[in-house]
Amino acid sequence: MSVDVPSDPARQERVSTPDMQTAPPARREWTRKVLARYGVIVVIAITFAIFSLLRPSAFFTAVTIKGILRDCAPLMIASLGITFVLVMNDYDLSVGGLISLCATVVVVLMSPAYVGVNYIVAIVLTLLIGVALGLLNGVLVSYIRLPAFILTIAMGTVFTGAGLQIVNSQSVYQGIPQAFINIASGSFLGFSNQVFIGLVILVIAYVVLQHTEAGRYMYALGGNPEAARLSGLRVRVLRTAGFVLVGLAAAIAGILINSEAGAANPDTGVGLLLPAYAAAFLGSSMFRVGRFSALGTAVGAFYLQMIGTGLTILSLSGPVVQMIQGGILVGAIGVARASKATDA
Amino acid sequence: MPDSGQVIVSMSGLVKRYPGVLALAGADLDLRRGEILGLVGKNGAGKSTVIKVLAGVEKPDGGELLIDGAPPPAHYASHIAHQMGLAFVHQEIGNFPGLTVAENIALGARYPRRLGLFIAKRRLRDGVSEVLRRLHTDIDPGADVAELTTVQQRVVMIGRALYHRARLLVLDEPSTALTGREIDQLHSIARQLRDDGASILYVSHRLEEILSLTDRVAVMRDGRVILERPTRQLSHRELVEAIAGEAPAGAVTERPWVRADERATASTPLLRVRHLARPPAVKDVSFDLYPGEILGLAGLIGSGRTELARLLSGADRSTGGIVDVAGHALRLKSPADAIRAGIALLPEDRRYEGLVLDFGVRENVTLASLSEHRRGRLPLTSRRREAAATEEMVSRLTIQTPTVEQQVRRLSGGNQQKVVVAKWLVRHGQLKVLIFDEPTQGVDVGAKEEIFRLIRRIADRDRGTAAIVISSEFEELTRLCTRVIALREGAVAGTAEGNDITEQMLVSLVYGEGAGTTVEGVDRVDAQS
Repeated sequence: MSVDVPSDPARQERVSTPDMQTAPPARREWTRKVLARYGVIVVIAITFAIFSLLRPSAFFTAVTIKGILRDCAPLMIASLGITFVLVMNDYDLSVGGLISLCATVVVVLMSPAYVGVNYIVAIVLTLLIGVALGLLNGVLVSYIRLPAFILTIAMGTVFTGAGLQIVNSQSVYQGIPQAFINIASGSFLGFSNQVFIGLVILVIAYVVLQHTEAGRYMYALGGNPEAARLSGLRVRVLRTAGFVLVGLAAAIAGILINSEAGAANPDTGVGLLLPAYAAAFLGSSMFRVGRFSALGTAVGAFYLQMIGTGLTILSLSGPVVQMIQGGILVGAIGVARASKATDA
Repeated sequence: MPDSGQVIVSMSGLVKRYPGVLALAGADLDLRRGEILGLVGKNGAGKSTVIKVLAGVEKPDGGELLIDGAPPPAHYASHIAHQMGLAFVHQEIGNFPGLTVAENIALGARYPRRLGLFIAKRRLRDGVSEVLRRLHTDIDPGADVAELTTVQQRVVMIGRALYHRARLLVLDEPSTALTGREIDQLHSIARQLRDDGASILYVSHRLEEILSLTDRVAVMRDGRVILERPTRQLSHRELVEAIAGEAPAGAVTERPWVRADERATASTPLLRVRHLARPPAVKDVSFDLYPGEILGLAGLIGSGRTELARLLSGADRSTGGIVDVAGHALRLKSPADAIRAGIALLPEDRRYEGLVLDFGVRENVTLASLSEHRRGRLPLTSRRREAAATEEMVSRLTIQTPTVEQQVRRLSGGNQQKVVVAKWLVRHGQLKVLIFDEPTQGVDVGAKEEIFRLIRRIADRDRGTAAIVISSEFEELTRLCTRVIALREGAVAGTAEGNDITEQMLVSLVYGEGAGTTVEGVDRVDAQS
């Protein structure tokens, strides 16, 4: 059933030359595009080269690189959770509090000093708690229509406080079974178990976002919520699902962190909030610029950990590391913004 | 009443071209001191372009604009119009909620100050109170504008014009969304201002108020002022005829339509709507839609057309009434419910409601039918199948795009519209009723014809499908529809079908009262008593 219509040259022209009047000269345009798409990757390579040159014997070694991969796993997992929410143009700033609470809860559940259940039961329960808290956030945001930004800050504070209260602001060392510690500390084929766990979660997140209907709907919702709704998408269900995934990811991250530490430190997750967002935003400034993606987030998390490790090897102090990491985030947002401006 | 006061603004032979449209084709109009001039005409007749030229928003391509007998400065722009005492009150409420009435009215003029820094609130209030007294209103200058009624908000906007010592006031559809009593209040303010010597240009679609309020009427059609006469020498009927124009000779074409008698014998209507309501926009609408019909919804802005479409498609929830499809009552709580029942909406504002602009053509086309392009049984999408389905749509609808991956943001308006159509067409099998809200807005002539052909194909009696079309262009409705329902103030004002659908007929239905044509089943609203 094809319809014949005389082609209109004026129309074709309009399609082929978008926004010609506003476009800068071709060379500048080209530089900007390349910078936008590959800038972050180039910066990562340069950073890597600098560390390698400064401390060839300490940095550019298999042990260090494996260490970076291991240490970035919890951050990447938390950040992948956030990526789902960011894709839908929402924010969940309770992720730090969620990680703290879940990390504490898993240890408290298995420690004989508190509850003392089998460590596998403790893990399952913790995952369920993460999901339940995420569901609470999601329902409050998408059904009760509370503003996500401030609500999740408040909820994060509640979660952090709850974690501290459970253990009376003390760390818990006793009664943690070795089998639990082995989850994060064990290794396989020379790589930490955390690397494999992270990889599995990365693959799942990638497939969901890129290859499932739910993932496509999430991007559509982020791009134009009203068009998504009028197309028949279950907008509130999708938004809620995003917060649930953050809860799940935070629980996994918290479990891994305390499995690695062999202890429960009730403010584990607080320091992870900014890096988790930094990783996702770094990720959004590469590949398809301005678009959050699972792969981008993973690369972002790896980069942040690489800098953390590198700066530690250069024996820079914690505050300096913070300043540099914050500065990198500002740069990444700038790159994403600049390249978006050329697209609009 | 001064009938021919001093001319403040004179426009002669104004010409304004937009790409593909001649908006003004030599329009002449004089605005005089102490006079209310009514300006009427169909959508696209050129009224708003005249106002834009007057306001300095658009530069005319030809003709002359004189203010106080002299051409305005070379760089005439809206702030200069403002300085010269021309004020424009648009139909949208342009106040700042959170600020007081006094702060709103004096906004843009320098607020009186104390110590050169702080707002002198008492003096500000006194100045504003004087303006409000002139408007004979008891609005408290200290009240937050957010707490005012619509008519009070409009009075505040007029007050701002007075505070700025405007000599000429353009009121663009000021009675929209006002009740009868509020309109009376507005009219007495307008008369008061006229008697004080102001010149008022009153633009309205409501002919009753044009006839009762104004001193002189100008009718625009096709970019010209085709009738200009003192109001008391005009009848309602003459006005309707002037607005509609002559019927083009031999323009009425035979078209297939479902006759009333055929509809009666058909077993069930496809869609049955009874007393559907969501005040204030939709008050009480009932109609049936039969397979094969292209049902037009005609009505002025504010008649409830778009709001009705949103109710039918689940975009908004109704507060009363029934919609049933093939005998089953629907609970339309969301668009998803409507789509499941086979009703989909192509919204008026496609950029903000129809498309994900950052998505490519493929992703937009398959958004509403993604589960039909699966790889296997799992909800995994198959890009290959999506692309194939999209390619088919691209060629069927002749969407001009380099590839199916092109961002829709970069397509022209007509092609964007076709992408929205394609989104619903790919799941055509399951849809029974497609609602098109202004389907040809911003679309060029070629694409327009194609969209018409598409709509005709979508409404198919044998497949049991139908279309509902909303359009502000009467000409489109006369060419496309098998039946037209006219809406006025949220209710059905009349219907026309088959070869009775003419522009004159639609104008008289939509404007109401005094139209001499025979009309079937019209519930007349007595507006003048």
